[in-house]
Amino acid sequence: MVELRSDALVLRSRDWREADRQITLLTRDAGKVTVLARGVKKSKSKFAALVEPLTLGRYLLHRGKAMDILIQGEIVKPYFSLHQDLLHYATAQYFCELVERSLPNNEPAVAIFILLVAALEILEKDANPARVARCFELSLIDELGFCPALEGCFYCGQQSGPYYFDFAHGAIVCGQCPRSQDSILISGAAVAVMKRFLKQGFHRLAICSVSATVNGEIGRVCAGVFRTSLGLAEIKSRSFLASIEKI
Amino acid sequence: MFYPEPIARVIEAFQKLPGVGPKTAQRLAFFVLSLPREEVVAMARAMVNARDKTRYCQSCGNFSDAETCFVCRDSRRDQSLLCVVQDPRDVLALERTREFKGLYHVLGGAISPIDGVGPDQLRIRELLARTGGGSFREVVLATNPNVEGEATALYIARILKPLGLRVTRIAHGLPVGGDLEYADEVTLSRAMEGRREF
Repeated sequence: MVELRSDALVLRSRDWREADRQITLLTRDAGKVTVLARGVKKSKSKFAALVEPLTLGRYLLHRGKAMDILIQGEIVKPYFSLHQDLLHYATAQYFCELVERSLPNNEPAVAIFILLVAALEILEKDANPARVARCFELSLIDELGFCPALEGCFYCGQQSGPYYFDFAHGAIVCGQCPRSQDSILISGAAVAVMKRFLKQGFHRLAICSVSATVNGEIGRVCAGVFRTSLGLAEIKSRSFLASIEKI
Repeated sequence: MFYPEPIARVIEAFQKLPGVGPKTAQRLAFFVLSLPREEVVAMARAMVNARDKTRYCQSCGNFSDAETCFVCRDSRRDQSLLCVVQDPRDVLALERTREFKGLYHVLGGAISPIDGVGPDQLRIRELLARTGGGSFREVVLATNPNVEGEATALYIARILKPLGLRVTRIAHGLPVGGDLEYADEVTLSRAMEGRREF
């Protein structure tokens, strides 16, 4: 019997038949896998909490052809505090959707597993989920191989903003150089914060001051990169996040 | 196919039921064949009747055979207490306890951002309209104790509290007849959090 024993995070969980659930795990060793968890909807199931989204655990899976089967597992961290605040919960779900939709099945993605776990750890402690979200988006884009070129204008190398972010090149261009039609204006301050996020990641993020305007600019650039480079046009949890930010 | 066409069609129909595979569908089909004709007709009529006559209560969203359901019609119930649940089946589960004497509001699901289910897909606007009149003193949030249910409860609490209502959440803990040794960490820690004077 082929088994997989790995640390993993539950990205998604959905009902499957009467008492089962189908979960999507991001495992440390085998990347994204789809798993059938039998009988977990029954009230006495000892695996019920193990298949809840945003749960980090150690899982033992039987590798199947179409789907893996959950054999055993134990919770390492349930990220309980993320369930207690709507904004933090919605942000965590947004991270999970981004990862789920940008990764293929069964391809190891250790760096992204570490990135996602680190993001959830930081999100638990940070009072500003939007700042963590921008840092996570940029780090994910970097890990997926689409790191934007931010060291001056793509054509002439000009070092002072404002710039335009050109999605066709994945780079910034100055106002004097040619740019594609879907380019968006981005301030020098936003470029500086993006460079900081890409260089230092979550390190000392709590002391990094990011204004709402700069956050919005970085958010639009990342959404554009996800759309043009990864084909993620509509990110459902992002729409929900935007709706709850208003109330 | 090994079966005559009418039997094959019954087997195919039974297979559409949740949790029924080909073998069970065959067993059910042969059981139906063994029944007197009148019973089979009564069974088929009951199903069609239920499908045709069941609708949602205009007030709470529960299953009903009239404009309002049996709970909303009952004037003896506490009209100032409202229990919010995800599904009409949750109403039946709570009614079986005979403990809750207030009214219900059925949301029709739970918020799941990753699946594209937001507040607009649920009956939250109707809940706001119902509670906005000031006739309720307490709203009990009885959504499922999972991530989606918690998020839904958080969202509703966030929009109802400014209205000055008392918003409560059902308790979490161990199932009766359960075993501490086999309970998971999350359930145990919640049970510990929700302990009360003995």
